[in-house]
Amino acid sequence: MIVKALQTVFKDWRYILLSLIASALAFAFATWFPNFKLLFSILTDSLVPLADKLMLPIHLLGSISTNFSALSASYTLIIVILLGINVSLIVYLMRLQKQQLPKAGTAVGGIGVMSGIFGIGCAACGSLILMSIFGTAVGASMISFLPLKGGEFGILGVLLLAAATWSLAKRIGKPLVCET
Amino acid sequence: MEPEVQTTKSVRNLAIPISIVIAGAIIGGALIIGLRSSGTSPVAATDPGSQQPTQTADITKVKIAGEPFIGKQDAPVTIAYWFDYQCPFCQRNEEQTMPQIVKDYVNTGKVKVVFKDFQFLGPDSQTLGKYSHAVWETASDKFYQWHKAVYDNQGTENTGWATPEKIRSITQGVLGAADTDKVIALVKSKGDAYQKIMDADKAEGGAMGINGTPGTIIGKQLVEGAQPYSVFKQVIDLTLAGK
Repeated sequence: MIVKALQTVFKDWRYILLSLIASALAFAFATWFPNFKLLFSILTDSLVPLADKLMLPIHLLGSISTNFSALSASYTLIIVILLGINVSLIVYLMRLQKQQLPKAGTAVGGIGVMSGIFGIGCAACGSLILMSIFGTAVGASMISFLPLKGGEFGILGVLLLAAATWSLAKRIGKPLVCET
Repeated sequence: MEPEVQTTKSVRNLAIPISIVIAGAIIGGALIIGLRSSGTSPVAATDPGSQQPTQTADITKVKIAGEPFIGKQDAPVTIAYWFDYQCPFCQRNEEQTMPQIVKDYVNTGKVKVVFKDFQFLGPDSQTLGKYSHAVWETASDKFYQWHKAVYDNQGTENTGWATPEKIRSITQGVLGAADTDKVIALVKSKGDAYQKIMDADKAEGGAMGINGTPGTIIGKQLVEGAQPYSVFKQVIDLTLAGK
């Protein structure tokens, strides 16, 4: 059923493009996140040559291999792919149901993305989100209590996004009938 | 009837572009929030060594005097590098990025790397931080070799791996027996003083927006995390060009 629903949606190239764009944006967000300030500073500096402004965001994408553990890189990539698929499924359903947002799948997917974001870089010696929110000491203590050092958030994100994908695909595959 | 059908169709055709714009707006919003939070991240009051960022990253405001460093004293660019001896990403940084920075910029006299403590992961980090200052005081020319040797022998976080025996073995391998005894004696006699330097380094990093390790300030740019060499090269080159 899921495969059939995905085939139905992705036979239209525009949905493939939409998924690719959403995934690319999510991937960029994950790898740029620790250095938004650096990016902003370079991109807005009038003295920095255009080539450097273009190259820095590309170079930062390489941090997937340096600033992520094997676990966090894996779930980040899975989250990025599932997010892209989810966006297309939501848009397809919205068009099918005349712009009505599919609430259940969207909500689960949204929580999944949030959870995944908390997991991003948690393994990077606490340099990211939890530290930004709770501060170094509290963030580090929180992470140290978790067996996977924050990777739990990422895994939860994958599970929730998978559930959202399943839920949305189920609705797409469901025949349009009036229910009692 | 016809105009109504056309309107519905055109609305449907707009769904994907509108979705892309919405997705862009969400990412943009997250970006702005991220920017704000990275500039003003709160640090817990329970951590005496950390403080709320009070100033922007600027190498001219970083305390350099007396800190361990490699490179020419008067190199045109100074990099301040906050690290933790237990951080696996610092280890990765030491293995993958730092050797290239040393080869291309430190050995050519363009860059000086100053080592700043951010030993926050646990007691093993603190112990090794103290030893690093003793090594610097005993044999500054061998500091970087010792620093690398510690990362080469890094154990699992907070397992008590930095035992006196292990540290002695690492230190002896780099400095020899006589200097190792001096280092151990220094840690015993000046441990508290070293701790103060380490706490000050960490507080200074926190004030400039360093939330974790590795964290690097080059010129007026803060580079967070273990980034590829290409990122550091670009920021160093831009800083050199601005000199």
